[in-house]
Amino acid sequence: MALTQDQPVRPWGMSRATKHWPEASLPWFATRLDPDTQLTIFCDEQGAAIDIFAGGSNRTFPTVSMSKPGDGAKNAPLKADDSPNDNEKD
Amino acid sequence: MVITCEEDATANLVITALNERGATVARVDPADIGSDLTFSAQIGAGQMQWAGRLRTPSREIALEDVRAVYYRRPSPWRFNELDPQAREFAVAEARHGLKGLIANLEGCLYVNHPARNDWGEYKPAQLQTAVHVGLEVPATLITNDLKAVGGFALNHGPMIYKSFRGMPSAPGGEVAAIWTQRVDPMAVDESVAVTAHMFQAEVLKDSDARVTVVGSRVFASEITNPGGVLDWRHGDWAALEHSPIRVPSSVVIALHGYLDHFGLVFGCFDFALEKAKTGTGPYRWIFLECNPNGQWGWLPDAGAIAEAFAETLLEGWFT
Repeated sequence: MALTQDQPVRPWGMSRATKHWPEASLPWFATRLDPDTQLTIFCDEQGAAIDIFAGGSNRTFPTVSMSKPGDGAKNAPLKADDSPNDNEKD
Repeated sequence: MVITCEEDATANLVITALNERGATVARVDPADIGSDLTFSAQIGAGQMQWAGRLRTPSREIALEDVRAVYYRRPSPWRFNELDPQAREFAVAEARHGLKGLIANLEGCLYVNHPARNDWGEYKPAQLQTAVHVGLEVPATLITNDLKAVGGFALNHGPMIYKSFRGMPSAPGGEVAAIWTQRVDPMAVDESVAVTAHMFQAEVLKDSDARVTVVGSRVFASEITNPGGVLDWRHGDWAALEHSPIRVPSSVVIALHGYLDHFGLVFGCFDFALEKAKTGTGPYRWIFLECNPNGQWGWLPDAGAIAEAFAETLLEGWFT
């Protein structure tokens, strides 16, 4: 494979990627901050608080798969983000 | 002060532990800069440290009174309503002016300092430091030279490929992952020359260990994956089996030395464990990486880790 400007070549490492992952629904509808405790309250569509840590294994999504495109305005595709990625780090 | 986004559930665990200890907590997301986050600070003219106010909808704090910062997962900068040039200006100015201020409060403890996190994210720094403090690391090659890949495979195969930073999002926001994976050296081609690539000798591991260090406290889980895949992040996290494991004292000493080298207070270490044929312990501990701002909320001992964060952030306050 020739590396010329006429034939842009993608880095080899990208060929090792998985296919795009399907979007996953967030396990909450909205969030709000409790002004007294500074804790985030996760709410369902009716605005009722939900315990996102209930049920043990449910902890994986809220604590690991938090990567979101942009500002999180839409539901997130699942992604394990052990480190903040380069455009999210600040 | 807890620097993170509103959707960060893990920060709730630490804030709860801080509240229980009577600390005044302000949850701040720098990306809220604008009407939801206003600040002003001054130095000079006899003022020897940055002093001023930072206001959120629910807190008004004196910056000179901030004694500890837990730096977690702030949102990416927004400014989405601005044209690209104005947005780039606003992002750069906010990064330097607001994040730069938050990162330079006199006499403040940072867990971790964002600049230390950035340094500690570099895998070449991680591996060099691990070797420096006496940890065993896999044979590793970083290169963009195809010939070097072939030579490495001959001497150290079977080998794996590991990306440094993972796959960026596609323009539509779709994400994909690059799991650590075994590679056939014949499958590597000249497109390796485009950028840097990292290859390592595959460790014939029996299990993995995640060691979370918070201040002086060490939490360790042995992770076994029923599917037996190379990278335990690949697959169903809920199916992973965690069990407490004792970390050899020589490794604990090395981990503290590692964090001290980077000026970090907290780190999430990943090790491959190989059943030892000789020696004193049941396993050889082989360092894979350290995520200086890694995730820990899914671990079975997340409650105790959150307590350790609170105690570390408040160390010396009540004595």
